[in-house]
Amino acid sequence: MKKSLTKSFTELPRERELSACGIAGLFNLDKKMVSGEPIAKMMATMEERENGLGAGYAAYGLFPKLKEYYCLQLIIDDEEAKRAVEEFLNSYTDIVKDEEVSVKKGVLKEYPIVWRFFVSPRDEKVSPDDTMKDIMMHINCSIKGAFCLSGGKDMAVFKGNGWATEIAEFYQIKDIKAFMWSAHSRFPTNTPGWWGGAHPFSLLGHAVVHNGEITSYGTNVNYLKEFGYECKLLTDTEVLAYIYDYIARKCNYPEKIASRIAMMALAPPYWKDIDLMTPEKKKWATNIRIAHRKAMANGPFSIIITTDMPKPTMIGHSDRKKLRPMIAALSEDGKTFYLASELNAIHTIDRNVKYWQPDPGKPVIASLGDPIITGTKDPLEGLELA
Amino acid sequence: MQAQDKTIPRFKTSIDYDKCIKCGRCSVNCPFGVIEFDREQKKPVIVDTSKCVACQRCAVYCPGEAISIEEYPVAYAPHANWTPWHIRAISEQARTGGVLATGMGNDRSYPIVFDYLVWDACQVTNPSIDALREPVETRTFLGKKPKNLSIKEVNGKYVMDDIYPNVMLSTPLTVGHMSLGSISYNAYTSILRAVSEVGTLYGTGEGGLHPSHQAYKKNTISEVASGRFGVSPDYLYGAAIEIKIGQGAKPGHGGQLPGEKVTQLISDTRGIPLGTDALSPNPQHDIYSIEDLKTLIAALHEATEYSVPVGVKVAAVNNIAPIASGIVRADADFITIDGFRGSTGAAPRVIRDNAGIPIELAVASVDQHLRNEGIRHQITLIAGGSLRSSSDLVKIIALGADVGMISTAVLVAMGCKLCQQCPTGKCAWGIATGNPMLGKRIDIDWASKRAANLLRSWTADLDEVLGAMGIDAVDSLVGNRDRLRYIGPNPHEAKILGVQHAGSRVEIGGE
Repeated sequence: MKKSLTKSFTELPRERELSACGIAGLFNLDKKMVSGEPIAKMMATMEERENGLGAGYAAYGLFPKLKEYYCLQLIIDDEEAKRAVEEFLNSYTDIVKDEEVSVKKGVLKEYPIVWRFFVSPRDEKVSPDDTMKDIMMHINCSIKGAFCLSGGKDMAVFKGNGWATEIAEFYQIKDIKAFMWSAHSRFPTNTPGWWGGAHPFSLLGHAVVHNGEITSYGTNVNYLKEFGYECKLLTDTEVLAYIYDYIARKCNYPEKIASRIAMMALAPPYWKDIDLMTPEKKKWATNIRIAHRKAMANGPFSIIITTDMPKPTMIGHSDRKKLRPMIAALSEDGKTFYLASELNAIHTIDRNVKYWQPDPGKPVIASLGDPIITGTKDPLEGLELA
Repeated sequence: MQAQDKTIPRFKTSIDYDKCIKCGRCSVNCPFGVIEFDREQKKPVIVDTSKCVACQRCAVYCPGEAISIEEYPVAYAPHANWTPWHIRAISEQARTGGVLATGMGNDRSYPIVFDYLVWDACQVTNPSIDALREPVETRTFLGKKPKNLSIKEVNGKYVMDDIYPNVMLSTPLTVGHMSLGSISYNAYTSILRAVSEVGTLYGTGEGGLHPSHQAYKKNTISEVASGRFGVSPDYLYGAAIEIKIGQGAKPGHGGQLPGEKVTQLISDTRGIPLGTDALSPNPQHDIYSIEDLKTLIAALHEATEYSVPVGVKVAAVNNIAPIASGIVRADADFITIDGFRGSTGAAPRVIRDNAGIPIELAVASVDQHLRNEGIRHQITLIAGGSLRSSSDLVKIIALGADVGMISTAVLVAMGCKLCQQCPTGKCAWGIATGNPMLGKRIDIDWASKRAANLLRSWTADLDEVLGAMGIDAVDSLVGNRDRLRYIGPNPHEAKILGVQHAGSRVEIGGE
């Protein structure tokens, strides 16, 4: 039987990813397009954090002319799988355009077909986002030989099995221009060789890169299943992406604070700190913990979430004890925002940045046009609450 | 009573007169009439060892350690089918023609599922947490949880609507329902004091709350059972209300407190005349269907102006999963499931020993079913019957319960030796008795400290286990079966539990 690069569970044992990793993010707050070269360089600097078994990049602002369509970027084993995907997409969406993603030959020994479809979902009864979420989940769970790398608008994920520098070369990352980038390199302790298991892990326009291991996985999976999220890809990161999507998008919280609530649910303040808050804040923090108690992610993690919903946003977050590193920085002109596992990755690009250590369990949020939430105060700081 | 009516005693009590100091404490302490003080010989003597129940009271109180209790050394002819247990039961039934009553939980040797489970701990890829130095949280809320919060932006201000009432517990551990009457006033007061010190709840049991216990009201779950004894508008304003449909030790059965046990104390608490029988019917006679239950839940919500969570307690039976789902849909805020090993003050032995299913399987099945229906997040799931140790608590939470409930363990902390004589009312330890002289044997200061210590000890154990699992809040253990492994003999059981076999790395995934 031919080895599949797209699916872990067709031939490999169904094991969950346990990994250490390097992560980085670069966000031009003026929405100026930046080549992928700096982010690739950041990853190359942190080579110590990977073992050559997976890396990837997420880029936003790629398709200005097609930005109202969802871009499904897929890895596909063979023509048969591609036909199955096409057939499936045709029954639920209008395919506006499709093309092969150009890759450089001779970098990786083996690689799948990388293909993208620009689609517009047809069902008007369900929100287009929900349809696309279901389409992505269906392809990933049920179509043999195909895996969705990403499915958002004006963005795509480029990932695969190899060193971060190899993946950058394979996709010619330096020739791609985007205003927001995130990247990841893996040090997995099992299931090597699976392209889908690399990060960024993406759902709709969200992409998550993650360093850590989620000890609450079972609880989170059960919680998400109640709201229609099937966790079948056996990565912790999948869980984080769905929790973010559920709380920040599906719960209909006010746009401006939805991601703050999601981050608070993911790593809430300790009860001992909540007990000392002002009455309004205490009510908010308590209720967020009560309502989303099983969305809390336990275990060591540092993550970067990038999303285009409701507007381009980059979030850095860590577990409540900050058992994995995360450093944030802003360029001297205040126009470029960085996140990385290690300071040297940022210094490689810009030695003059102003950098800081976000507090354990406190999110750093850079949202286009808004002041940066620095992750040094509690995330509800500055809001008028009642 | 004829000689043929007699069965061989179960236990043989003996006094070593070389060690005996002839103080007579043993005879004073034995309420069963085994030992009496012989005034002529000036020493205690065994007058009827057939009455000995191995409660150990005499032996513990003997200053000379002179008393020994052993199984009576008379052999029954070996028979694997007709065991002494069967022969004794038949003899008793033939003598009385009645139903055999018993106390405490099912004592038969069914497999114990808890003992087939082990849990995971952190190594290398994730760090364990030192619970002594870093925060590990056990705070838990009892009540209905919303799917999401309701937040609006009004003139630049963010307004969050209130959520359903939720009661804060310092630990996911409550004390189950034991009514005043089933246990003594002093035992009852001791438990109330312990839970209020620790910051958790005690079930009032059927029969109300005594006027002298009003100070502890916010640490009680007010039981509304089939006899409605003690139910008043004021009584309903405890921390929570629980409609009792069933009890693990006697599913499908109610309860009786005979008139002779309805003393002034019980009369004051239950709101019934002195000396009248307090009979709790088997079903609630206003609940013959799920829609009837819904009506009662709504009535209790109305009566307390939606300020108190209303739950339903059911025994773990075959169909527990759809029953639980019906209860959630009937608008309950929490469900208490009592397993087939749960205890009782009095129940027909035939029911106690055979009806219901183990709590481990019930919780696994309910948790799974409610998740499939997308309603698990709404409800607080309390599970008891019986949790014997902190490890059982960890396992039941990982299988899907939010809160563990213990009763027998608390009684053991206060001196109970599981002699199962509760229905006789002669409890030598002053626990399961309405006799005020026996009840005084419980020193409230001592017993409340012991009970509080037990709750604290299990919570500290939970902290340690969570830390070793790399989890710093108990919320992340609830239903986290990923962290359990099965080491028992029956793969089918593991499947029902939704737990992988030890040594297997194969992911169970969703279904």
